[in-house]
Formats: sequence, structure tokens, C-alpha cells
Amino acid sequence: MGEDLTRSNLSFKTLSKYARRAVGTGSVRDLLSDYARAAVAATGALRGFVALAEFDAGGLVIVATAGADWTEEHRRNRLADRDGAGTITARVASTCRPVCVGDVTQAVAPDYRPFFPGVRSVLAVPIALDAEERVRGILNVESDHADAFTREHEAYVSVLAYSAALRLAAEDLRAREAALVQMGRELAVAPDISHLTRRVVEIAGDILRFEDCSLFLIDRTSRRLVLKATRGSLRDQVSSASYEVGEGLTGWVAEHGKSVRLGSPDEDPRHKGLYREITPVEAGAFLAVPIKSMDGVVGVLRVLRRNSTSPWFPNDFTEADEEVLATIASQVGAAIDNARLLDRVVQSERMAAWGEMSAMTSHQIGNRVFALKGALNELEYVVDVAGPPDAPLDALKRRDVAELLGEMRDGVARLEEMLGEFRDFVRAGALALAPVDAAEVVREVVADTFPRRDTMRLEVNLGDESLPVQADAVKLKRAFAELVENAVTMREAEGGTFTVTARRLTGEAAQQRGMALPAPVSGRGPAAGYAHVVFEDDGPGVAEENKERIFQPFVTSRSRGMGLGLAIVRGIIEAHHGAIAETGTPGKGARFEVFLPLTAENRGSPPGVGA
Amino acid sequence: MCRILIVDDDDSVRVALARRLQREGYDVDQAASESEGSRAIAGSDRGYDVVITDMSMDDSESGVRILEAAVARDVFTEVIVLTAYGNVANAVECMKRGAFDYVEKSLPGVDVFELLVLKVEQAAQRRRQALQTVRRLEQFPRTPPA
Repeated sequence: MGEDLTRSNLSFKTLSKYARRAVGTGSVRDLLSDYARAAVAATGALRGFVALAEFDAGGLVIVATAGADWTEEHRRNRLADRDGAGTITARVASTCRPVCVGDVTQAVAPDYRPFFPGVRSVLAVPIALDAEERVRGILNVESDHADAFTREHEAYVSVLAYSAALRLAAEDLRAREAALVQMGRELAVAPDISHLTRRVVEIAGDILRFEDCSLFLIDRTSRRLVLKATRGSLRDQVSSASYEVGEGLTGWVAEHGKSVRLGSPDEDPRHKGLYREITPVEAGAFLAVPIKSMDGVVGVLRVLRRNSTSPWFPNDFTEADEEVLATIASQVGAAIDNARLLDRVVQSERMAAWGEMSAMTSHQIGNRVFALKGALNELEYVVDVAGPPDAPLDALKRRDVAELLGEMRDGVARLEEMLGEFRDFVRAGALALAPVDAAEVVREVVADTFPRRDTMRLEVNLGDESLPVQADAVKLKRAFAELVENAVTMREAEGGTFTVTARRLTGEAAQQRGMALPAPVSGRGPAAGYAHVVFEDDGPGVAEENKERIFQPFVTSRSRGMGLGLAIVRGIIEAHHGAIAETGTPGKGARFEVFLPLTAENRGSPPGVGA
Repeated sequence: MCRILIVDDDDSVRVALARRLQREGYDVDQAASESEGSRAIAGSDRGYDVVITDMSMDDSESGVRILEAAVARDVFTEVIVLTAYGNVANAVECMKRGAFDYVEKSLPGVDVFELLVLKVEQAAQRRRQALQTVRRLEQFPRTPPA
């Protein structure tokens, strides 16, 4: 036997060198090419190749070749795609044992067609860590001679294949680990739960090859499992598809807090098939794990695989797959806990703001009521001094009474004004959205507020093009009108110039203006650009230190009102996913810039131009 | 005549209060902000008998600073602090620093103007008594220290 080894280059020295390379840092492709060449060299074969399994499609793809006669066309061949169970590759893949055929013209099924004519001997060994594991691929050598391969050859090639399997397994684990780490990072900074769930199904897809992945969360009020994110055909039903807890396989997972891993979900008695990512005929394997948070099960993450196209190539989820999905689910659970804690923090900040607000409001309203009571007190006095109830009021008293009544009427009007302002502030974010032309809104506001002010000069720069936005026209008018009134009431006495400009601006141009513009909402945002509306006056302007402060509630330089005006404006603009800032030069005039994301339509007109 | 200063940044509050106190025969001055109030106190040649100040103007401590300014000018000036209904914390602070009393502006079911007239009367009386006491003390023959 020693002689055999020498003759056919079966050197164990080279074998151990190749085996060591499996844990090296070179690329997998290079390693597999080396192994194909080594197998060919060691066995004296004419050629050889490595093919790897595609788990989702169920085929084998050639990834490395060695020896004679290979062409690109040969390399593109997919193995075992539709082959019957009798072929060599099929036997290796299904039994996970090496197959050595001395003469393919005699021993193989009649439909066996080798890639190359004239092939006699074939040695094919599985690339797998053990016989239980799914076969990762095949290392194949062939020869024009009959009975070209011996048991020793088989042993040698098997070691190479095993080394390849080790490396592939390590790669898989590394990829999973990297993806899990990435997911952990992303989940920690996800801005909200819906963004988070979307990323979960995307990343999970990269780790576990599957047909579809769906994430359900238990709604806190209805206690139903509601579809929150998915990759495939159920997309239209996000937020509407739902299970009762306990209903179907997904409901069972939520109810029991345990995973379910099945080869054919349709055969399970718990299966209901209410919402299917793939047809029952196609459904190959089902895996669902509970998402647990501090409060118990909060949702279910489930993945599905299609039936393998090759009957002998199993497509079940493995225990390792289940572990990975459970890891993802636990990260999601932790992220949901985080998000809900954050919600609570935001909520308590909001409560604090409300506390401050109610203190300010009660002070303001208290003053109004105090003044009203003062007028009432005086009225009583005036009437009392006038004498008995049926005595007529003399002209002097009558004038006092009229004056006091006027004062009280004014007081009540101011209370109403404050209530209105307060209501506008609280409801600035509640919008009834419809397609609106922002330029038209500007035009209307100017027409409504300007004719009455003849002391001020008005300049309006509106282009011909429309500025289509999704907006609540009434609220938007309210915001623009406040900006006009603000400038005009302050400048009315001495006169001056007021300029309104509205135009289209690209996303980049808007960003360059240094505005903190909100991230694009789907279908809107920088892609379509912004409606840019500018209100300018030539008054004293806003001091640098007040530029941010003026938008805060209860800050006012006017004696009337509650100082909610600009806070309402900002509230309305931000509810439209827009932005507003005061960018004027102190001493030269105030300049309010408003940005509103345009809707995608009308993109034909050249961006960045306009009036 | 008893001199009163009203410090409040709300015009209608000042007007209503001044009118009521004038009806009682007081000599009433008004200041529309904390700084205006401080200036009025510092600039008055014989000090105010009673100062009525809103607690919260520039900020929630404005009333405390008016109180300090008034007492610094004339230690016997009586100060009445007006507060929002339910905001007792600041009022207590003022009492500790020697305010005569505090009155909640919108106390439900109370005619706050009659209440204030009463408080101002009491404050003016306490000031008169304090000044009399001082005068009497001053009339004692001065004995050289032993």
C-alpha cells in the first residue's frame, strides 16, 4: 500500500498542509479551488470540481474546478437540479456517504449524463461535518479510465472534503455572528418599533435563508397578534392581519412561549393557514419563536421555506436555525423593552411640559379672572351707591356702568382668545391631510391679511409653478397667517416692507441651508424636494440668543395672548414633516424660513428654479 | 395719605386693583414690570407704606426680589404678594422673608378685592404702629454707655 501512495502522490504531508489551510485566512473560493486541484493531483484524476448546495433552491452550484477541458458553460451547470434519485450526486447528497463508481457506463442509472463524454470512473464525496448534518456540497473527481479510484483515494479526498466542510461551517457561524451583532447594534438605535421590526425581518433574512419572514406583535389593547413586518406576499396586510393568541401555529407559539419547528406545517393539527406567505403546496418548512420581553411574550417571529425542488434534498430548519432565530427574537424583545421605556421617558417629559404649561395658563387665566372680578366689584359699588334697586341711574353712573361692562366684555373676549390659542397649540399636530398647493395657501393668506394694512409695503414673489404638499390647508393657513400678523402688527405703526417668497427647492439645496430637516417619510422628502416659503420684514429682527427661544410656548414680547403663536406655527409645520427657523440678521429684519416636503408628483418641472 | 405701589405686568390687573384702592382713598402708584417696580421703590423719597406685587413676572421669583428691594429701601414697608391660585410654595418663601401676607389672585368664591382692601388696611396699620414704636423709642433720653 505504501507503494500505491507514492505512485499516486497520496502524500499525507501535503494532506495535513491542506487541512491546516482550512483554518487560514484566505478566501473560501481560493481554498475550494486548492482542494479541487489537490484532489485531482492526489488521485491522478483527469478533472475535478467542488459544488455547493443552495439551500433555498435545493440545487448544487459548481464553485471550483480543476483539471482538463473545463469551459464557462460547464461551470454554469447546476447539479441535481431536476435529476432523479439515482445519480451519483443525488446518492452522495441523500446518503451523506462517498460514492465511488469504477465504470459509469455500467453501473449508473440509464438517465445519467456526465458533463464530459468519455468519463469512466467517478469519485464523489460529501462536504459535511457528519453524516447527520445537511450536506453542504460535493467534492468530485473523475477519470477516463475505468476503476481509477481506490479506497485510499477516497480517504484522501474525504479528508479534503471534511476540511472544506469545517471552513464552510466556520464561515456560516462567522456570518451569523456578524449579522447578529449588527442586528443588536441596529436595534439599540432604532428610532421606533416599526423601523425596528422592518430591520429585523431584513437582517433575519440575510442570516437564515428562507422564503419569507414575518413578525407579529401582541397589540396591547386588543390582545391580538398583529402582523408588523414581513418580506413577501403578506406586505399588504401589515397592521391588519392578526391572530387570536392561541389561534393557529403562530398563536400557539405566543400562548405557550415555546418554539415550533416543522417540516410540513399543513399536517400539524394546530395549523390554520389564515395568513400564508406561500401556498400550501409550496410550504416546505416552518419555524416560529416567541418574542419575550420583561412583561412575557410580546410577539412571534416566524420564517418559512419553500419545498425543496429536489426531492432528496431536505429543506427543514435545523436546531441551529432555531437557535439563531431565538437569539434574534430575544434581541427584538430587549429592543421592544427599550423602546417602551423610552416611550415612558418621553411621556413623562411631556407630562412635565404639561405641568409647566398648566402653571403658565393658570397664571394667565387667573389674571383675566382677577380683572373681571375687579370690574364686577366696581360695578356692584357703582350700582349700590346709586341707591335702591328700582332707583333710576343718573347719566354719570350710566357712563361708569357702560365703561365697566365694556371692560368685562373685553376681559371675556381675551379669555376666549386664550382658550382658542391654547386649543390651537394642543391640536397643532392633529391634521386632516389632503393634496394642497402651498403657493396657493400663501396667496390666500396674503390676500386675507394684507389689504387692511396700508402703512406697509408688500412684496410677493410666487412663481407660476405649484408647490404640491400633503397638508391640512386650514392649519397651514393658520401658521402662515400667524407669521404675517406677527411681522405686520409689530411694524404697522412705523411702516416698512414685508416680503413673501415661495419656491421649489431640491433636497440637497435645502440641506445646504443648514436646516435640521426631518428624515424623508416614505414617498416624500428630499427625493421630491421642498416647498420653501420665506417671510421677511425690515424691522428690528430677532436677537441671536432668541432665535430658538421664540418658538417655545409662553414666550412673547406682546402684551396680549399667551405667547403660543410661534409655538403653534412650529407645531403645525413640524406635524407636516417640515421645518421652520428664524434666519434673519438681528437689526436688519426678521426672516422666517419654512420648509415643507413636496409630494412626488409634478417632478417634471426643473428643481431649484422658481420665482 | 397712605402711599401704595402696585407691581404687576398685567395691565388689567393693575388697573382694577388701583381703581379699588383709590376708592378707599389711597395714593396709588403703578409699575408694569419687576424692573419698573424696583426703580419706583428706589426712587421714592419717603418710601411706600404698602407694596402689592405679583409673584411671577419676569420669572417665578420676581415677587421675592420686589420684596427685598422694598425692605431694603424702608424696613417698615409692608409687602403683600399676589400669587396664582394654588401656588403656595413661593408665598411661604415670601412670608419667611418678612412679607405681610400673600393673597391668591383667583381664590374661588372669594371677592379678592374686598380681601385685598382688608389686608392693605391691616398692613398700613401695622406700619403705623411700627413707626410709632420707633418714634417713641427715639424720644427716650439717650444715656451714654457705661
